[in-house]
Amino acid sequence: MAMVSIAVLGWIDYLTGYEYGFSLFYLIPIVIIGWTDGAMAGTLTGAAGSIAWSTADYFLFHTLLQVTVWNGFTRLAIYVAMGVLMARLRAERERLQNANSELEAFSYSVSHDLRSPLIHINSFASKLQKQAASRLDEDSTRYVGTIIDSAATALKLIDDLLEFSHLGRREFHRSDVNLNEIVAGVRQQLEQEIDGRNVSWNVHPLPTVRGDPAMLRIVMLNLLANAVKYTSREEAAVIEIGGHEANGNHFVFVRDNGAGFNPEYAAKLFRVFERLHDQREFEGSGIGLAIAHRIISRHHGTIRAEGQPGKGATFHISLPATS
Amino acid sequence: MTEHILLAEDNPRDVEITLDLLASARPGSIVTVVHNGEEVLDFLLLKGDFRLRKPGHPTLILLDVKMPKITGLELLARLRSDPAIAAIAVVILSSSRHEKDMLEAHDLGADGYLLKPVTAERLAGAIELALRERDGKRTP
Repeated sequence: MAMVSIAVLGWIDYLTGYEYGFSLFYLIPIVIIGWTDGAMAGTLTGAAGSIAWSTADYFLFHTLLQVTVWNGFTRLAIYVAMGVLMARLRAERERLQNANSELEAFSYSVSHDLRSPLIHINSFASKLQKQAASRLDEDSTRYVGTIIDSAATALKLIDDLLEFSHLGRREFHRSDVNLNEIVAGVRQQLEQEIDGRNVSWNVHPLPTVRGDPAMLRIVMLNLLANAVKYTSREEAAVIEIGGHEANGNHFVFVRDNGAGFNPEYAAKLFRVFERLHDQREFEGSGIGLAIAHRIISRHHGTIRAEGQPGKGATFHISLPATS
Repeated sequence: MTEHILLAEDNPRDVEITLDLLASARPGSIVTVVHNGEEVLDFLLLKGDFRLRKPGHPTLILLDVKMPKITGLELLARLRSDPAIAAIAVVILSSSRHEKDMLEAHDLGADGYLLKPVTAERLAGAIELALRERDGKRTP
């Protein structure tokens, strides 16, 4: 009977173009468990295929079924239903993997092939500006300057988009992250940008959180860089950073006394390319907060903002203490 | 001794930009331009168009990643596996900011990875660092 089962299932496998994942693995369960349940359990294993259905999962499922469902035909129906479900999950997983591979290839092409011509525009326009400076009238000089700036902006946009797109697929490396060290490093990196300005840093002790150090550094860099940027018109900029732990969560805030924003548009803050300020007021691609939001989401945390026009902004992050 | 830099770059515009940068970054150095990984190997192993050139290895190779025939990373792998040419300093100079390329370059033994656009100062710094590290590896 076992051999008949194998032959029948093998034919179904072949006739369906292997779509439902029947495989020769059902030989083992047939031998161990008995021909009917074994055949169906083997089908289920085959349908699970590359989906994470470990041997332990499979035997647990089979044992539970044996103990709770005494009717053989009912068990058969459950096996078939699970087998079909598993096969569909596997097909969907393969579709997503293919889509991901295509996205990876697209991202690779953008990363190199789209950046190259922009680099050329920027470099040759800069050369033109230097070499022909004395021969260009005021308008022409402005035109060349616009070409250089636009190429640089386009390049930054591409780089930001690549960063954003890569975030979702980047491997997550979990460890204890000392936010005090991260903030100290970020402040050092921002020193050049605040050179000559009156900026007061009010940094309170920050918690050590569980997360990806590189990603959390990007979050703090984006938030602090924003605080530095949006306080650039203040005579005395004040940037405050603090945090605490409560109710199983870590809370961190970054507060500034800069331009602030209209709370009516707070929901737009974390969307890609959405900006609440004119480029003429403050430069930027409008992707930094979207990146921060994506990273915090990957940490199963939340990020929100409070602000008023002309009265600064506060960004609040919460991260689960045991993420 | 005059420094000799081998520049491997297939795009003529990138060649022009990099030659300008090198004139500022490493004044006085001799630069030879080849256009793909296969030509790098021909140059180093005195084959093909380079079979009659004066023997001697370049001080450093400036290598693009995306090139026809043999890519920069494929070439790097071959370089590091051939004892006769494994010790030459290699700095990658690429438009690709794909993390995969950067990591692979590091794993294959690149002495630096510069992302274009790059300033003459950064190029000079990377070349200096690469040569110092290679010298350190050569002298026990």
